[in-house]
Amino acid sequence: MDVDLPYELQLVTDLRGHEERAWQIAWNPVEPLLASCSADKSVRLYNYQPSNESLKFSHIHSIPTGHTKTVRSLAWSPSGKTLATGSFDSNVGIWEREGGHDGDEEAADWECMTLLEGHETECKSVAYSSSGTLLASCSRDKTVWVWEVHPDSDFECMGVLMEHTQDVKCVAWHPSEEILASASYDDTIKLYIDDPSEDWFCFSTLTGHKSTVWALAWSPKGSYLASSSDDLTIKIWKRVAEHKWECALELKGHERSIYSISWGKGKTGEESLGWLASTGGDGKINVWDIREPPESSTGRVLSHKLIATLSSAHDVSDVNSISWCPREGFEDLLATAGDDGSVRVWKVVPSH
Amino acid sequence: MAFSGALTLTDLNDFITPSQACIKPVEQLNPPEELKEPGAASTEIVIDSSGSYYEVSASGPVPNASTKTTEKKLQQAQISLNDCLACSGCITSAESVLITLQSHTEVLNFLESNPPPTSLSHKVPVLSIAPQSIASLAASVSSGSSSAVSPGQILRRVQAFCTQILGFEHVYDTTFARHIALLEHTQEFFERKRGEGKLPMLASACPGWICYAEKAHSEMLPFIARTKSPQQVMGTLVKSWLGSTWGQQPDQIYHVSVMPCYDKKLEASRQDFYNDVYATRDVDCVITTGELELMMREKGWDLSVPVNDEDAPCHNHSAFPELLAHPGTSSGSYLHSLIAAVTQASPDPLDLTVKTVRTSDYEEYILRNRITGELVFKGAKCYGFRNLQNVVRKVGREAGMQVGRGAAGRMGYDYVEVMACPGGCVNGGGQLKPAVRKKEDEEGYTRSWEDSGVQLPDPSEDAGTIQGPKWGNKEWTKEVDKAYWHDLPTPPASPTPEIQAVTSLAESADRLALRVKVDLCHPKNVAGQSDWASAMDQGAESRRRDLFRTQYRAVESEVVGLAVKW
Amino acid sequence: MNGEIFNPNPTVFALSKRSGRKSKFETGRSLWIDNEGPLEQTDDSEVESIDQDEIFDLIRSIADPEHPNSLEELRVVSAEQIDVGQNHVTIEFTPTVPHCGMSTLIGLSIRVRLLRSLPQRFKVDIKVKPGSHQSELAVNKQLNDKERVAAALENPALVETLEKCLETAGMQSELYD
Repeated sequence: MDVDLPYELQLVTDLRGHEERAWQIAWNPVEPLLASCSADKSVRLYNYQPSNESLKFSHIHSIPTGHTKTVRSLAWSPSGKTLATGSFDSNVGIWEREGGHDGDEEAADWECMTLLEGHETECKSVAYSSSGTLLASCSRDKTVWVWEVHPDSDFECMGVLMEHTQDVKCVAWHPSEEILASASYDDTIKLYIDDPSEDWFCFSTLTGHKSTVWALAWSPKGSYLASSSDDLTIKIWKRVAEHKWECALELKGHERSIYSISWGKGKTGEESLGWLASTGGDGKINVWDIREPPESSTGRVLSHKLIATLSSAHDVSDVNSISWCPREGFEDLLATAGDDGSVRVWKVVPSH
Repeated sequence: MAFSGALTLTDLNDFITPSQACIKPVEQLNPPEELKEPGAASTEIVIDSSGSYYEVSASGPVPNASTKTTEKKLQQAQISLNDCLACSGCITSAESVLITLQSHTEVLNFLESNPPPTSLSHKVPVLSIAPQSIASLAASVSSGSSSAVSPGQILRRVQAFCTQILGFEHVYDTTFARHIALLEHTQEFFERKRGEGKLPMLASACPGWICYAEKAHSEMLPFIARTKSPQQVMGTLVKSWLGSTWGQQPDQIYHVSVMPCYDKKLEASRQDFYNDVYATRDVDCVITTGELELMMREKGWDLSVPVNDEDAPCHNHSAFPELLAHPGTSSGSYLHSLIAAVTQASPDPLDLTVKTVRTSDYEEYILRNRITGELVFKGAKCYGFRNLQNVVRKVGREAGMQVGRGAAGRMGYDYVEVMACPGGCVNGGGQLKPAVRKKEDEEGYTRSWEDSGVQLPDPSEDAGTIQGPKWGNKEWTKEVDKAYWHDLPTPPASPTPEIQAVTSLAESADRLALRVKVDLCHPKNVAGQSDWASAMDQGAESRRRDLFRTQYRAVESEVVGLAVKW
Repeated sequence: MNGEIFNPNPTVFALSKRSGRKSKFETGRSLWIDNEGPLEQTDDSEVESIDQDEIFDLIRSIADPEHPNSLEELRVVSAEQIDVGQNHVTIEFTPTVPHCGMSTLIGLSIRVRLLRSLPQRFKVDIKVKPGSHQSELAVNKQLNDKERVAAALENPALVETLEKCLETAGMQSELYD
């Protein structure tokens, strides 16, 4: 283990079951549920309960999905009632639970309520807006789609954004406003808003990364956006005006592509902007504490401190996804998914 | 920059953009001979001043001391529009390579090499221009002058330019062809309503939509009207009907059309519009409004200058009624012509209600029986890629093709006027760009418009406000729309005295359409033919279908491993 | 449209002797076709070192997608262009012509061959020889994007073509045994 860091990552559980590479995990924002998706075309659901000062995770359900190719991406609606899946078969699936409500998870069955077609090639990422009324998806076909969620699992296409010149890897919604960000193989990040009298449009392009931008994470309060890239850096973009973002910090600490980042509230108090966790092709997990510079300081540079790190988090495998648990009281809980098909849950604990 | 102003890539916003690279491989006609050294591939590609590509072996020990650096000219990619129709690599034509085959240069080359009329191999050059193109030119000219120029005046000026300067022998607008298309389209709708085909019927005039449906949503094909678009009806009219009155065979006519849309080039290239017997196409070459304007500029023609007799109401010597207004939408009034036909056919009076869904690009039209309140007809106009997605989704869902179950109420449309461009055909990708305030490009093209429109203004300015997007200039589209309707209310809501003249023109158009039908379909019972809808014998009906309808086919994707783009 | 040949007359070179040792990772045929599963890794505790010759033996007999020759015969790959670290392999290959449209396919076939043959601990980077291809950066980027590679391997038409290239991957080297 690396030395002299204030925290370390403690393995809570190692969840096996996917037959192929696990691509992504998603914590249900309301209930104690963790979902994972895989190249084996299935989604696995786990619940967790406190047990002897720790947490006990149990596999409660597998959704075979019916996607004909890899399930690449997952997203829970803010209500926690709906799960969206994005697949290499180019479609987005919308899933809801039938029967077996609260407490009787095992009796629940998950059904495909609708299938959103439109992408021409692999769907790479899906995301719900903070209100749950909008769903975004992106694809190698270079487009980003915005869907409006209607009652009864009906969806209306609100926009098809053709701004990127390459594969779009990730979409992420602002935590409170209707601002959408997308990251691409074309090395750029684009930001979009709705013009109520017309269509969605791109109002800003963030450039600076020197290779594919794999992932995006908004800070919990939304005044910063983090991006991770194949150029082995993480950039943090600060909102300097309503529609203007500027790069405020660059972090290094990985030796191969940084496939995933997640920005949680953390447990270091209000002065902190939260904890930023990253992982990637080098199999390493890094956790940074990000803070705004003191009032007196003139510089724009954010202060950052690596507070925990762990190599070979999934043994020799790449780690594809990392995510902080969004539920109150679980701010120190992280989940990761790896090429070994396993899902691991970690707790950030003070070092001895 | 090798492209002319009319052909820059920024102009190619036909709104369904290519999303994968073109997979058509380049065929090398002259296999280059090459002596390769062991080890590294030591060649590089150089481009000379003329834009030709050369492969040069650059380094390494030269096997034969006397051999100098070898250069060989590489074949340039030649991709025909037909290749594009057969490939799913990109969704529409919007790639610059495709456009060279049907360009204004091609038109000029043809005219230059066309032997004189005394020669047997002379072809009669004919040009047909779409009313949306005329509107675009009119709006552009009007914005630079104190008084508005009418579509009629523009048509005369275009006719003068094309005949006097370019050497065309005949110049028509395509509204009479559209008149026939609307008649046939109405006919087809009632056939489907009777159960001969599927409902809702979806418009077939937009080639971007057809192309997209064939490549991405083959399940929509049975719903799309089989009626030819006005451009292709015009092709039939010019090559088959007019040609025979002139004593010319189809291959003795060279037919150019001017269209608001690049995808019309693809449409004209379809195999269905190729005449095998005479080895000729109904429309030989399609150019956009922008390309026509470019030709005028290249030839020093000023479209803002009036020509003789341009205010004469109607040319009696024209073969077709001119500038027929079809009230409804500036994209061809397919929906409104059906609404009119349904209303006319109803024994009881009907009430029309219109509901806008979010924007004017998606409107629902409902006809109810005034007495019983019964729903008689439900239609929609639906423009732009986004709205088109929702139509595809709803039609698919109703037809039971959609996986999943969502319980949304039936859309229940009888007809949808689908167009790929937001704002419809007046905002086509081939139209002129917004007329220029002084600060813009001298040539009258806002070439970098997309960049400047999408990005933030100078950071020193108020960074809190952002400039408009995106799909096109809505204000400008309104201007073009206004020019399209000119003297008429936009769009005309109900018959008013102003439209009386229009109505009588429409009646003469109906009579001529009937003549065309009789001449081309040869029904046995000529005396029984009172209008376009009059029933004909089987042989004549089959000829009608051959002449005025077409077909669609799904394009399969990614079947050749070597060509897969991943 | 199948008449596409980017380099119609490639130079074919004589083969060199194979390394003589049979790589423990080599199983001859495409693992996925035969469904044999990855190699036994029971003796992984004692980490076996691999040298460039062994890696070369794995890829030298892969067939070129458009010629009846192996990658070695066309000098697309060579032992010198392979760099092996503890858990890391970098392979450089040389397209026969700088506008070769098959480069991504060749690179992909090399990647798949190694994916199927090497122990999981190896991270593999594949690159075209610097200066040997007009779209060098684009080709490299695509070949090293694991998501693009993963999706490509779910495309039946592409996999079929890849399998043809890989059919010979183990066979030919056995001739030298």
